[in-house]
Amino acid sequence: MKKLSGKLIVLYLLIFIGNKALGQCDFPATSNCSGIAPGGTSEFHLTPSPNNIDFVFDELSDYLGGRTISGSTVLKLKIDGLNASCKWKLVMYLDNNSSPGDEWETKTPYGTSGVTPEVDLIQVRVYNPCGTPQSNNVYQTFSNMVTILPIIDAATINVAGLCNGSEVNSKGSYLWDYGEFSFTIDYRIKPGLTANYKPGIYELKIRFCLVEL
Amino acid sequence: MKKIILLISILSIITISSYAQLIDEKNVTVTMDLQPILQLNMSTPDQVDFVFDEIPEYYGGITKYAGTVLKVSASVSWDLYAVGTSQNGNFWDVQMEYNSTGGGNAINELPLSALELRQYGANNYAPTATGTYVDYSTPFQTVTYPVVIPLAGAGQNSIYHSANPYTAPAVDEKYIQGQKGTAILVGEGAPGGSYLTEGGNTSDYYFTIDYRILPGLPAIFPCAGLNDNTSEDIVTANAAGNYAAPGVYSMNVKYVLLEDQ
Repeated sequence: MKKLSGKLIVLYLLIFIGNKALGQCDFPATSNCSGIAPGGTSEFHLTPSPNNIDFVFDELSDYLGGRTISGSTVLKLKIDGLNASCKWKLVMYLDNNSSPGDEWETKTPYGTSGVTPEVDLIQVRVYNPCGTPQSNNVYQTFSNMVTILPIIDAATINVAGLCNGSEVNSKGSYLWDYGEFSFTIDYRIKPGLTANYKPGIYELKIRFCLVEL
Repeated sequence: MKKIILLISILSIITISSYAQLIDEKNVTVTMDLQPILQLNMSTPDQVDFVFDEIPEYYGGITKYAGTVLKVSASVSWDLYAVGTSQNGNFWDVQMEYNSTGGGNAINELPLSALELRQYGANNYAPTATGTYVDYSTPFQTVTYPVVIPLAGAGQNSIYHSANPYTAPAVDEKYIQGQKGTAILVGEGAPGGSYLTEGGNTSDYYFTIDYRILPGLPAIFPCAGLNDNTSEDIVTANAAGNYAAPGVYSMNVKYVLLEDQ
């Protein structure tokens, strides 16, 4: 009996830790949508996977004009509702692996002079054919590490299938409403020359959180 | 014990059931490789010739206005200096001597500092430089005859010279921009930027260089000297009555752009 209770405690702790590992992606208070497969039937795809975006600045024109990597990330959703109240949000935020302040994580410095770039250097643009994101097709920046940029985060339920630019957040699928349940993402970095950035290799993670409301 | 098992089972069921709720997260890793850029664009002839075949040219010298235009673009803080060099780092290389040795008092050791520079666009990033002159922005000195040797102010425009041109000049030497030292907060070195975006030919990234050689008559190069005004004219460096041996001489001028150091 003691062995059984011990195993149950371990099982509970593993599940509990698993939940907390989602970080700023807060656990939902409601249960109106089906969970992600295989636990549920909803789906959240990020393509390609794994998704690594590499910016290399080795020309003067790269520094002055910046570099843009377009359409390198596509998010596709299939949301199954358990009832008519199924509503969800999709947000993005940063992870710099606990680097100081609002700085990028330094992987390899090439020298010692200069300053470490901050996270507001990266610009992100999200769009889809129906224009459902809050800031559709507009480059946005993360002011700091606690910034959470909403992609879809409407107060009321907007049903799918109209493709009228409203912030669709109900049940639906990229399979039949691709323009409302898919999101293409562009990335842009424009360092300039006057900021005196320390040469080196830096890394940042952008986390996309899908959660029901 | 039964109560404990019951409680754990309930908690587990709640937790497991909560997994049926909609929540998931995906990640994208962004890598940024910032490679240092130091780019110096130079407009100048491959060879700048000074031919002294008239008496007024000896007296007044020959000036090549805007002989070189330097344009800088850098992603890191930087220094820029000019260095005159030759085989031994002190005297011009002798390519040919005319009329044998040119007489008993003729000397073929012409100081590299005989070449004078004047830069347009002053050095604005040398707050702790200790030399008499921090750059080449001082107007060329006017020489009156007969010349009093050693000339006061000798070396004020003389090019920094060295046998090791890639060793950065000391803190008491002339730089075109910047100085020896890395205290960027006090301005020891120019910040990153480009003449393309920072104001073009009036910016801290654009320099026009004039060249002058003034042999004097007799040809002793009275303006030649070090940055502390120590004269290097031929008489001071040798003996009264000495002068430059007629001939063809050459030296090399390097413009070195480097990360602030």
